[in-house]
Amino acid sequence: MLDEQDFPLELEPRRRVPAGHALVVVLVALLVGALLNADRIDNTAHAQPFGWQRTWALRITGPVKAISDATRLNVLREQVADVAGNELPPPLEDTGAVVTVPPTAPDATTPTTAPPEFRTPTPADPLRILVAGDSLMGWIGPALVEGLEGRPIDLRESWEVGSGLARPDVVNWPARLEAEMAGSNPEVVVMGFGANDAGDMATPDGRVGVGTPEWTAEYQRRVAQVLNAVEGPGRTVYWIGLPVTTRGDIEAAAPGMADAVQREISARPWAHYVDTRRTLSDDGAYADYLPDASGEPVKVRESDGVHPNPAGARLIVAPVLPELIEQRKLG
Amino acid sequence: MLFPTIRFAIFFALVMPASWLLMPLPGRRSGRRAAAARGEDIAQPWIVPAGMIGAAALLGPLAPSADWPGPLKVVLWLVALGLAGAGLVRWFDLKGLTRWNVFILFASYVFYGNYDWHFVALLAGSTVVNQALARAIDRRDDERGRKLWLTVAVIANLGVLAWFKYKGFFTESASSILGPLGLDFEPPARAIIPPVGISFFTFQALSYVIDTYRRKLHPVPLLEFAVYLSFFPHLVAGPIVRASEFLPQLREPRDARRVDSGLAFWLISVGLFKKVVVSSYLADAIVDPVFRIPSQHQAVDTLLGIYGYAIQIYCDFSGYTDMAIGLALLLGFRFPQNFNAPYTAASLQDFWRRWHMTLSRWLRDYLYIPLGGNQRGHNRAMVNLFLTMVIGGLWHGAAWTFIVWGALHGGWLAGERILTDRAAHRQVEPPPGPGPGDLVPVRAGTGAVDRDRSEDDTVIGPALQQGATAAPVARASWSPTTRLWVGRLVTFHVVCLGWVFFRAPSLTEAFAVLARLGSFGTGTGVNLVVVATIAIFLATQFVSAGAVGRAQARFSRLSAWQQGVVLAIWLAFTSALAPAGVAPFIYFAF
Repeated sequence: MLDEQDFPLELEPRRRVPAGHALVVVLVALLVGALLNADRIDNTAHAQPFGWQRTWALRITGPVKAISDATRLNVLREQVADVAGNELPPPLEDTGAVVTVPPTAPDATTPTTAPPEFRTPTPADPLRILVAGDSLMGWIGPALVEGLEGRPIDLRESWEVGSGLARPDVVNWPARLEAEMAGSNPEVVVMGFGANDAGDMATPDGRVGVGTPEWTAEYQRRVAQVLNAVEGPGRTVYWIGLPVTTRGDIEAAAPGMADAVQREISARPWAHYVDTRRTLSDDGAYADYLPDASGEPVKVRESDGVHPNPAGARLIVAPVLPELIEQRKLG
Repeated sequence: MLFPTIRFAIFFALVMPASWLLMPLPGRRSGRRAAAARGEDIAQPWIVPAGMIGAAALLGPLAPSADWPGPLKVVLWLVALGLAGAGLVRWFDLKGLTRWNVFILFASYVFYGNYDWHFVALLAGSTVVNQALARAIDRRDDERGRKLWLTVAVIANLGVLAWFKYKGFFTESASSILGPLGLDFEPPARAIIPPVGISFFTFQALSYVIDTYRRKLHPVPLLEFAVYLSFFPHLVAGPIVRASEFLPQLREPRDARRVDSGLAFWLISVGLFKKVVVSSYLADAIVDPVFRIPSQHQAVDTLLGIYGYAIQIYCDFSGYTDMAIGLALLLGFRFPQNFNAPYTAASLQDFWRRWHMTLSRWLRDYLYIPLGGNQRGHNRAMVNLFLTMVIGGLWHGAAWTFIVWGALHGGWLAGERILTDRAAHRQVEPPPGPGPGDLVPVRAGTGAVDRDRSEDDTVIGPALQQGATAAPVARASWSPTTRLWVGRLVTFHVVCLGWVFFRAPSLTEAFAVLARLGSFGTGTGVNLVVVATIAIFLATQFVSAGAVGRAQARFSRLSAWQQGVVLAIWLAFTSALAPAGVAPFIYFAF
């Protein structure tokens, strides 16, 4: 049995107070803390999926932020965050990420030009590869590095947990990708989205419900937007399709997503769709264990029934590797 | 509903005042009124949480789907209403501690159900089964009967744990080992997702049953055992609290007039900062890149990544523990210490006296000693030590990396003990009091020798004195200070070597990381903020407990308004420095 001298140690007497005192401390801390931290709280409220919880959160955080702005109590936090490089993303309504381009109509007459002649990468000037997207892309980078081991590549990762095309409030992907293209100027972009996209989306015309034709049309517009953001001379895109998962909400939205992505990809000869529902499944059915390259069954998923693990990522990139090696002269 | 989230803050802001409002004041009643205050005259208090949980389940996860026949839906809704009504009516009959117990049990189940409602049934099932087995053991006087029920309890608990945590791992391992011999094991199509915290509450349940078998305690009423097992501050990631530590606190009302809230707020604030700022920053800035794609990093980056993980996992897990202890204090309960500046350890034995202390003593009491401890000869003691650490490694996760981690610690601990024993034999006169060769049980958090224990057995607790004797790997001719620091340096690097296996997703990746330590090149450049963060948090390990205690005492003497404002500024500061997207606690996975 514990006694007073066990733990926590009390080398100098501490004051004991009534529970009401502790409650007052909690309330003061939460109230003053909310005012000091209003920007982040409001940002967190904006980042929630659409629904009653987000609506109510915004109703509460809006006035708190207004008071904080008026009294400038949020300045201290803002300055510390700036020094730390933790600037908050602008709220959804200000991102301009919602609908800017129309979907690209699939065009059977799109000229099928011959693939451009790519340069031969060298150790001094390696092939620049960018891996971008949501958390499903987590192990894609390591799998590519492993699969291209000994070849001259420079792989950069820019994926974000919780992000997606339906979540421009978390990451404004068109803006992020434009910045990446201007900065690291990758020659190959490997990207994928969808794990966090099974939710309603905001459009200038209002909210579109997941599973409706309007939702698919909106999603297709956003796919077009990110593809346009990465388009560039001599650049190739591999879009990693959403794998089959155990999550009912994702599976319900998956056909709409796949349809939207494939329509846009088919209109761009420099973009390729990597069908993971074929390679990371047991004849289309979800499976935690699949044969690896040697034929041995290995676990290919994380325990959440959604994300591929390193072995799963190896299976996903397997069909991409020979194409990359050949086209990009990595042999 | 993780600790550092707004949802949890709202949950706790509701639970804490309700808890104190329902808690009877101690020492105000005597005799029958005291019994009534403790609720001993109220039978079947479990009806309240059972009714509420049943109703919530029928309205939530077990709710009839749209295609069910209308009359069946109506019947189910009526049943839900009936259960809720029965629980509500019974609630008003409850008094004193029983009413508090029912409330906190319900709150804990809501907390746990927030992860997955289905697992609440597992927790409740584990509670009922272990209580029944403890009672069966307690009722028997014959040793054979007691041992039989104990065996049933151990098999049942470990069986559930194995099913959820290790089934896939063992099938996969058997498949790869026996496949070439023509013996095929078909891995499951769907891996089982282990319930959060199953390892922790299973170990606590086992300690309750085993202590009953050892006649150290008698089974308590079901409601109290249920609260002990499910108490939300320690439910998902410890600390592993013994029944003998928690149940006596549960049987006496907590004093609402004397809450150690100053320390509680201190611990919660520090724990929050460790988790959301330090742990998250190091993970993003150096650890994840190094461990995800080792081949892109050179020796210096890789070494920083390994050191960074040592600090990351310390801040992550000790941050969680700080918050758990602080939250429990705000409810009036005291938990045992779980960390005590582990990177100041000058030997691995000393490290395990300071790291995850509640797991260490659990392994000592319920694994190492039953294996025979050091009562069956020197060689057997070494084997027992090694086995204990390997099993301890496997407890962390179903992977070969954890087995290697445990084997490394077990092997090094055995080596240290051999060196320590040799040094002790060479001494002509033994030093007064506990020395390096004396394996005396130590009470968690105090360093004080537990004289109640008769067994001369411990995995973690040689009563090492800080100083020259604390480093078995150091040479006797060195000065005490040199020996101490050599011991610390060697121990820290052995621990870091273990962390490589602990962090890496597989043995292949672990060896790939280690291989990069021999790769000298320009690398990606040294991030000075990372270096400073690692250095500062290593330095904080050496801050004296006295200085921290004085600061805590001063904070506790501030007025409520002052404390609130200080905490608010600290929260804003923490929020400003925290990177976006804080990952779940590492130990939630165990």
